Amino acid sequence: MTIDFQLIYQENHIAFCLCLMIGTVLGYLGTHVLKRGVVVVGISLAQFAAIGGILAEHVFCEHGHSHSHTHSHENEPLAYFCSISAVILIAVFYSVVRKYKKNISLEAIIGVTYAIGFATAVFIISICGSQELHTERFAGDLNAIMGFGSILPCIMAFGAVTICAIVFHKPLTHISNNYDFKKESISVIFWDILFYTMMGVSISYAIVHIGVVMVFVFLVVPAVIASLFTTKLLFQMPIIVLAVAVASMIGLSVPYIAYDSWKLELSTGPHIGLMLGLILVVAALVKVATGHIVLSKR
Amino acid sequence: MLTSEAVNFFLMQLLLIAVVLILHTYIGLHVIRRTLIFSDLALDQLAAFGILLCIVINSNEETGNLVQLNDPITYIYALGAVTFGSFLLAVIKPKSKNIPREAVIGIIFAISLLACFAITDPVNGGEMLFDGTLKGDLDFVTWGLVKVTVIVYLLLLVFHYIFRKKFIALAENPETIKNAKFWDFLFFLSQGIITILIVPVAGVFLAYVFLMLPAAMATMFKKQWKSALMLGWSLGFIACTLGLFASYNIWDLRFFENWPYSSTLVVFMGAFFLTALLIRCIKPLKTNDKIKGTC
Repeated sequence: MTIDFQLIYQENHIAFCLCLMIGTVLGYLGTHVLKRGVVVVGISLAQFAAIGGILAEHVFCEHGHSHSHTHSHENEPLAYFCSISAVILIAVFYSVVRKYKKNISLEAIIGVTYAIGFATAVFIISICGSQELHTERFAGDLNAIMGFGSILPCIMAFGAVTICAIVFHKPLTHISNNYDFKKESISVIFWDILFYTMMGVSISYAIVHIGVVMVFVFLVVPAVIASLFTTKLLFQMPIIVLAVAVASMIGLSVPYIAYDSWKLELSTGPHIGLMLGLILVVAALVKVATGHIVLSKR
Repeated sequence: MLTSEAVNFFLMQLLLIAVVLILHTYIGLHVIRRTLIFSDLALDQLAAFGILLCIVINSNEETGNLVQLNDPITYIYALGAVTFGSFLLAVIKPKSKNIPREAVIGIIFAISLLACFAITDPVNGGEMLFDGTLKGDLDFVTWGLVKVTVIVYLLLLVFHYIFRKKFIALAENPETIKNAKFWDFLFFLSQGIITILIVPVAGVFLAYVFLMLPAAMATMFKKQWKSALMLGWSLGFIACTLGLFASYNIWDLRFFENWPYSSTLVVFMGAFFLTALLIRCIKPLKTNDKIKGTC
């Protein structure tokens, strides 16, 4: 069996750059999400961003897009507008509910609304006459990338989020480190809105290429891997970049190797996610083996 | 006028919903009070993984899929997957505050979902199988399945009743429990067994909603376990019945045409949940219904 690495590079270098960019930015946001203890919010925001895209595709567009299997039309400004609007609406909903909720945790409300969001997406797709969920909504369709032009909006959005992350790094980190104590003050609400807007924009652009579940995986898994080794962001970021790079490289190569060897046509997205999961397991085992994580008997 | 076939269909569905909701609401109350929000979704997805693995292993290009989504053998694979998941959920409890337990549970769910996608990807009709586990199929509901479900759920109810003090202590005072991980494992395993029966019919997300929504509505209004269980069951049953009627288009209205089964039930339960949330946000809570640390 010979592996044509040149072909794999030629076919995948754009997808690799995209994964590295999305994984690094979402990984940075993931470190904040972990510190704030609002892990489920990532997948919920991604689900509502997807609903925005589905609404744009099935309800607002009237030109027979509903049966298309590709998501090229989702690059349209309307789809991005609907996705970002849906994310901002749900983020405002969570902010308001957090203040007035009684007897129930915010995580429970987020978990429940995520499931309702998923069902709503299926519901909209079904009543618009389509019977399939289109699995690329979950794990993306990196094979559909046709040159740097097709990912340009995503590069611009992530560039803007990166600039915000660098400029506002100090206040965002300060709030994440003291999330439980400071949530009532007005300035914190402003930084909260900025943080969720950054998340909303990056998620809305990322799901077009990598899907809802992969957004959640890129948000949480690299950040958890980095948190196993260090709590300092300066050291966490190289670990995040390395984990994303290794997982993307192997995940993108697997379908080519499988096709060359066994003529199997596979999607790339899930394999990147599974590789990240594998790296997490290996990292955790290394920490247990070296005695840095002690398994409690209770 | 409903035909006898339709009456039989509704009786079967409503009986199944009524039985399923008792245990789901009770376990959901535990899940919400312990803030293990995605644990059920993770187990549902693992059950789906077991089912799909069984189908993929038993399929080949010449004969196609020898096993279907609701074949008895798929339940054995699903049981294996949820037992493994229950073990992981019970054992992995990060001590570092930088890695919340919810992150571990969320990762188990996401990786299971991606694994489902990866194993069905190379199979002919794999996307339909994947869709099937997410959306469920009400055609799988037969009197045979209803009988098995009733028996298994009754056994699990008896089990939970006998050991109720242990499980309630896990939710209210976990530090008082000896062998907490063992009891945690038993709790997650019982949760996993009910997912095995419900996932082929309801799909992953409806199964999750069955567990979470009635319990979430009840938790907002009642502190006592018994009254919360009764309220959650009643609200859940009414919402599901209305959703079932709408999905079947019993009123023969054009508005309800093409309403899919499982997501219609979720949409109705979602509407009930949002109404309950709105009422709870506006209306003050009675002192004896307040749950410590949540208000």
